[in-house]
Order: sequence, then structure tokens, then C-alpha cells
Amino acid sequence: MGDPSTRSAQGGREPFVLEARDLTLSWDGGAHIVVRDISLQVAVGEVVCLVGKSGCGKTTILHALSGLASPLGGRVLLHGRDVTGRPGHVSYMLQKDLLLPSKRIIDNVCLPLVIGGMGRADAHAKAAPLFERFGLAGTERQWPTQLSGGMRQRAAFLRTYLMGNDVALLDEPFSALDAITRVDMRTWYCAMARELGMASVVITHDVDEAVAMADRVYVLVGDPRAGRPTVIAGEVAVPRAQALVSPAVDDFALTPEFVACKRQVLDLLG
Amino acid sequence: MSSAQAAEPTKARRIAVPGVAVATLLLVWELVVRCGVVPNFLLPSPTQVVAALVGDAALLASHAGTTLMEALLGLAIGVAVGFATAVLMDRFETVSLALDPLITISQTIPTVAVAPLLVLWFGYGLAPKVILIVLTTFFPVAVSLVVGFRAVDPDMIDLMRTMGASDLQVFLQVKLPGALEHLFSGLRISATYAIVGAVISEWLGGFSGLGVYMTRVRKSFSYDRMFAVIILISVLSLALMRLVDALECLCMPWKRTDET
Repeated sequence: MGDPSTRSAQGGREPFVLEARDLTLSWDGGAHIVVRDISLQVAVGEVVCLVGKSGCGKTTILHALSGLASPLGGRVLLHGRDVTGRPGHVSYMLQKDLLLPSKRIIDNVCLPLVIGGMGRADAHAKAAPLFERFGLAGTERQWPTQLSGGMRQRAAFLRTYLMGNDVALLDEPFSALDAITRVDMRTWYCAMARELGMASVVITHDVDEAVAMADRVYVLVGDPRAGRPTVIAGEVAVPRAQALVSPAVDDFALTPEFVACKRQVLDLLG
Repeated sequence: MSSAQAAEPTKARRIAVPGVAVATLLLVWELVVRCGVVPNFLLPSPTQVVAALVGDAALLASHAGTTLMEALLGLAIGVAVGFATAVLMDRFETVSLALDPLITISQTIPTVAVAPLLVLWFGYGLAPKVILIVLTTFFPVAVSLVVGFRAVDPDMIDLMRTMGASDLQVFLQVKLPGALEHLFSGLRISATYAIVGAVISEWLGGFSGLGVYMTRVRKSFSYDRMFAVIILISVLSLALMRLVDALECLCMPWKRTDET
């Protein structure tokens, strides 16, 4: 049970944190194929975005990666180990912050630790020093309703981090926030994720958000409801200099490289 | 009611306006009786009712004690049964399907019709009274809890499962706290049912209790005492409801966020 940031360093023989091989997914046990033969890889500390239109099965893919749903075919590997259909190995964060209104912020973020069997006092001791780093100082004893949307999402991210996995799946994490907070939060998230060495799979239907956040963008196309299962149309690597960190994520959106990447993604989306 | 703050006038008005309304009603009632518009033997005046309430205070207190004890015992058992039913209905779909119509039908049976049967089966003691209260109080608790359990966001349950949570952990951490508000709204209704249920069951037989006292004073045409006992029953129901409110406040501290 190491700290995620130290564990991510042991990439070694297996360079991918999370890997999906030929995943085929269905909503209703096989009659209706949603996603066909999708393969993707996430390297240590990498931010990968899956972009696709609404209803193309993005959330279904995350469910399969998290182990909440079992695929019809294919496998999910975590550090090369098969975790297909077994939840509890990958951190998960949704558009809704899903903070429990009945718990103070400190107890909300400690939830994964307490569920893992840690005592409440020990969990508090482990989480408390992280509040400052996550921009949550002073909110420990507050109730979720007392926090702004952005702060609640930070708390949700701290909880995600305390799940202790070195890869997080994010389902449109910032789309419930207003435009300005959204840009702030994704800038902040990218910086934190890189600092913590936490790999991320982010799904979004916002091409700008995908290019702004990702090291690589997978473009999903298909319309499962019209009988065309979703496949990966292509992959766009975003040429982001390693030096480009937090404040520069925004500036990056103004560069020709950004526009070129966005063009590629849009072309693939069709 | 000193210096003017933004919310204060509204609060004062909230107390003053209904206060004036009640006072007016009482005054009109008093005058109607005093002036002989309604014969005094049919309708006692408010002052006569208060006099009866004060005069019989010791006797009323002992009867109220019996009623309150029955009500609280029945309520406690009713809540426990309602809670267990709701948990089973939430956990097992079969139980839910089987019990849904039975519970609904049981609520269409009038309490006053069942009460004599219970007296026949269980006698004049505590048992038929408590059983009647259990039957009337468990329903609001069970139904509101089932609704509360089902209102939990399925995404939250998915999130808990990605943390590796067991069914029991999902229940204790998410479902139960999430359903508390529903539980208390059900409990508030059950609390009033408990007092009324106790009084109704006492009408049909017993040795002490507000229902027994009520039957006696009715038979002796002491309408001032009738009114006194009715007021006392209302006060007890209100007190029990306030107790539930206080309990809710205690159990759900996150509802009191303004005090920090």
C-alpha cells in the first residue's frame, strides 16, 4: 500500500498503467453492441482524453475500464494484470461531485480509506496534510453544501486521489461547472495530476477541453443507437512540451499547435 | 424584538399574525357563549375549558401518562418494524413485490373497525393498544424509508463499488444517511398517529388513559372536560412532533449549516 506518486515510478518492464485490449461492450448483454474492438493504452502519469459525441458510449467504456461492467469481449489490464470486470482497482470521478451531504468534507474525502478498513482517526491524519495542497485548507470541518462548485470538485478529486490508485477515470469531470471555473479547474487538475504522477483517462465531448488537457486524444466515432457500434477513428498526440505546466495550459490554447491538433480531431470526428 | 435586522420583522410577523388570529377566535368563542348565542351546556367557553384543565390537572396528568406510555411503546415498536420492513424491501425485490399490495391494503382498513377485534382477541390490557399503534405507525415509516432508499443516486453506489465497498458499507455510508430526511418526515406523521391510535384504542376498553377519561366525561355530559382533554391530546401530539423535529436536528447536523 504505497503512495500513488511513488508507485507510479516503477513503470519498468510494463510501460502502461492501464491498457484495454479489443474491448467489445454492450448495454443489454449482447443483443446491442455499443463499442467494438477498442484498444487503448495509458502510460504512467499520462493524461489521455476520449472524445466523442454524446451517446456514443463513452461512459460505457469507463464503466468497463473501472470494472463496474464486464465486456462481451476483450480484457482490461492494470500494470499488465487482468482486472476485467473487477471494480476497486482504478479511481473514478464523475461530472457530479457525489460528495455525501451527510458527511463533513474531511469525512467525504476519507471515504475510500474508511471503506478500505482504515480507522477514522488514521484516515483523518492521512488526509489532513493534503488539504492545503489541494486548495482546500480550512474546509475540513465544513459540509459539502457550504462549498462552491469548484471547491466541491477539488474535494471530489482529493477523494479520488485517496482511493490510492495511480490511474483515475474521469467522466466529464468539469462540465457541471461554469465556463471560467471549468478552465481554472482543468488547468489545476492537469498540474495536480502531473505533480502526483497520476495517470488519467478523461472523457469529454468538448474538443477544446480534450486538446487542452490531453497528452493524447482518442477520437471515438459511431452511433450505437443507429446500429453503428463506436470504434476508435484515430489517435492524436498533442505536442505539449514537458515544461508546459499549470499556468501555460491556457496559453497553449492560443498556439498554432493547438489549432492544428483541434483540426485533426475534428477531421477524425467527421 | 429589539434592533431591526433584515430577517427579524418577518419572524416577529410569523409569531404575531397567527397569535392575533387565535386570540380573535378565542375572544369570539368566549363572547358567543357569554351572550347566550349557543346554550352553555352544549358549548363551554374557553375560560371554562381552561378551568376544567386546571381543576383536573392531577387526574389528567395520570391519564396522559398512560396514554403517552402506550403511544411511545407502540411508536418504538412500529418504527422498528417499519425500519426492518423497509430494509428487507430495499434489499430483496421479491419481498418488495410481495409486500407492496399487502401494506397498501392494510392501510385502507379503518383503525376504528380493527380496534374492537383487537380488544376481543387480546383483552383490555396493554397488548391490543400497542398492537393498534404499531399497525398505524409502521406504515409511514416503512413507506418513506423505502422511497428514501430508492432515491439514492445510482452513480454514488457505482462510485462506492469502485472503492471496493461492500453492500453493508453502501447501506451504512450512503443509503441510510441519504434516507434520514425521508425517515423523519414519516416519523413525524407516525408520532401523531401514535397518540390518536392510543386514544382510539382506549375508547374501547381499559382502565386508564385519556381515551378512557374521555369516554367517562362524555357519558356525564361534562363538555368542558371533553374540550380540556381534546386540547391535551393536541398538545401531546404537538409535543411529540417537536420531539421528532429535535431528534432530526440532532441526527442531521448538516441541515444546520448556517450556524457553522
